[in-house]
Amino acid sequence: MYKPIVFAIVLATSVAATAQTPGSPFHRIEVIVNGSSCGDIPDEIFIVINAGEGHEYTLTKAGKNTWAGDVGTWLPKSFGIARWEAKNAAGRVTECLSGQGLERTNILRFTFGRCYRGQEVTFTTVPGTLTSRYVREQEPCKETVRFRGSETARFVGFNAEDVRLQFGPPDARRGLLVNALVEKKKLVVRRDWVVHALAAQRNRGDGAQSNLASNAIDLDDKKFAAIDFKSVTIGVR
Amino acid sequence: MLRKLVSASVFLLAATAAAQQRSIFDVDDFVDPRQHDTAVFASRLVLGAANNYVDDTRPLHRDARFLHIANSVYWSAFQFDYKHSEVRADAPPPIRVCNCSPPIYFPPVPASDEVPLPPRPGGKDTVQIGWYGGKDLKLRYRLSASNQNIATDLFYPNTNGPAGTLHGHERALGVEGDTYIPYIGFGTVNVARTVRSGTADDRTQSELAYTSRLPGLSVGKILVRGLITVGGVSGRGARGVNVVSPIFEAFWHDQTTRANIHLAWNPMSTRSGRNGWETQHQIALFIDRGIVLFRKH
Repeated sequence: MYKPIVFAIVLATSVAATAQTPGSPFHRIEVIVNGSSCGDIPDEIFIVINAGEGHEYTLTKAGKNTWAGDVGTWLPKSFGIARWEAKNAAGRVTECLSGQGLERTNILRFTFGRCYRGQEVTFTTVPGTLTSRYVREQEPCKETVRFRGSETARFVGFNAEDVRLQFGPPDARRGLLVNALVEKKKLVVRRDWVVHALAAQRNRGDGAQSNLASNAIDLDDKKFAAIDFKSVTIGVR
Repeated sequence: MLRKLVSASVFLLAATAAAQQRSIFDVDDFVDPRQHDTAVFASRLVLGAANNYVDDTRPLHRDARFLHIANSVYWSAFQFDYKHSEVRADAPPPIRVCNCSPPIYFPPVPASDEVPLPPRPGGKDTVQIGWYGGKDLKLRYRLSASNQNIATDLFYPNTNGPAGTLHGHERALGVEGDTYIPYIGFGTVNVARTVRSGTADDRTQSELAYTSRLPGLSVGKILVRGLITVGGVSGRGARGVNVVSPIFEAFWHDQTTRANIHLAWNPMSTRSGRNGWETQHQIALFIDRGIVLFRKH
């Protein structure tokens, strides 16, 4: 049964996410969603705004195709993504766009016109005590969520964004590209396949020249052994 | 500031010096600095053989066997390498020399408007220093210097008696820099200068080449990729682009032994003033196995 409620999530990737600074002039957010690919317009909207690695906020419907809310903190001009639950689908996700600042009224307005099908993706690692992260990237928007054991990412638009998994102690690595695994329906991935998948990513030229570097493969292998990583299961629906 | 100084130094050196096109068995050693947050040491042994072996765009016209040891240290955004290779092939015909001045060698060496022969297969040492730049897209800039000592035994034409030994060497200095061009992709620009002296076939060549690195594919657990090098090399009587050298490589990493098996096909075309375009098909099969050490958290 379709509930006339749509959850919309705006991820705002800010350069400096501190509150009440001269560079953070916006206190209210408006989201306007247009476009035939975006589905029905909800009566109530929940908004999540990420500053840095993520803060969630809620917006409510303020007019036709418009959701708004005071987020309780001061925000700089940001890029953002909207997501929401949709009728007969796991959700919708928009492209990443820059908000338009209306400084006189302290409103940061996002106008989205293109939407993609979103899916719910669950990650479960073995061992369950392993610290991991998933990173959602739709340039220049980026969202990092840390988890231990299991976590679900909602409204993932694989057609629009890259989702990466990073295992073990945090560093600046790029991570395992989940999109390729979902495309291949390789949803239970053990250590040796993760090592292979990372090598395949490098061979495709992921973030650097295409290379078949044996040292990089051995380094991955040793690092996964050091953290006792065994497998990750990816559930998509 | 330090990074700016290093990159400026590398580019200044590039203007005056030069990287020799790497041997087909010199396996990739690009390790993205984002993959490690401590210093990493890697040592790797490569063993294999090549049909129609080619050394730096110079066909040997014989098969060769090779052993290659590469030691690398990755620290922050820097990479330091020391590599040693030993190449062996069937012995070429003995070189005879007349008792005259200047000496005349037989069999005659390729003329200055022909593609030169590489030095006699032997041992070669290479040191490299590299720096990785870029934020989202990592690009490596690397300076290489190599030396190969060449001993050439000479014989008199009629008596087959020894006429002495020439002790020469071939030295190369080069720089390579990765590039990324939107819609075209990644590539590497090589500039190198190679000088061979003290041998029966002293040669000098300068090279400027661009290697396009096509995105690779995976076929099951086998990784496949293609590189295409296009460039100009001096000292063969043909100006402009005179080397077109694609390499198609299949790679398999065995999880049990952690060895990597490579099969590479290199149909290299070179152009000389005397003979025009000629194509040599180099096929190499080799295996590498290494150890990687790093400090754990």
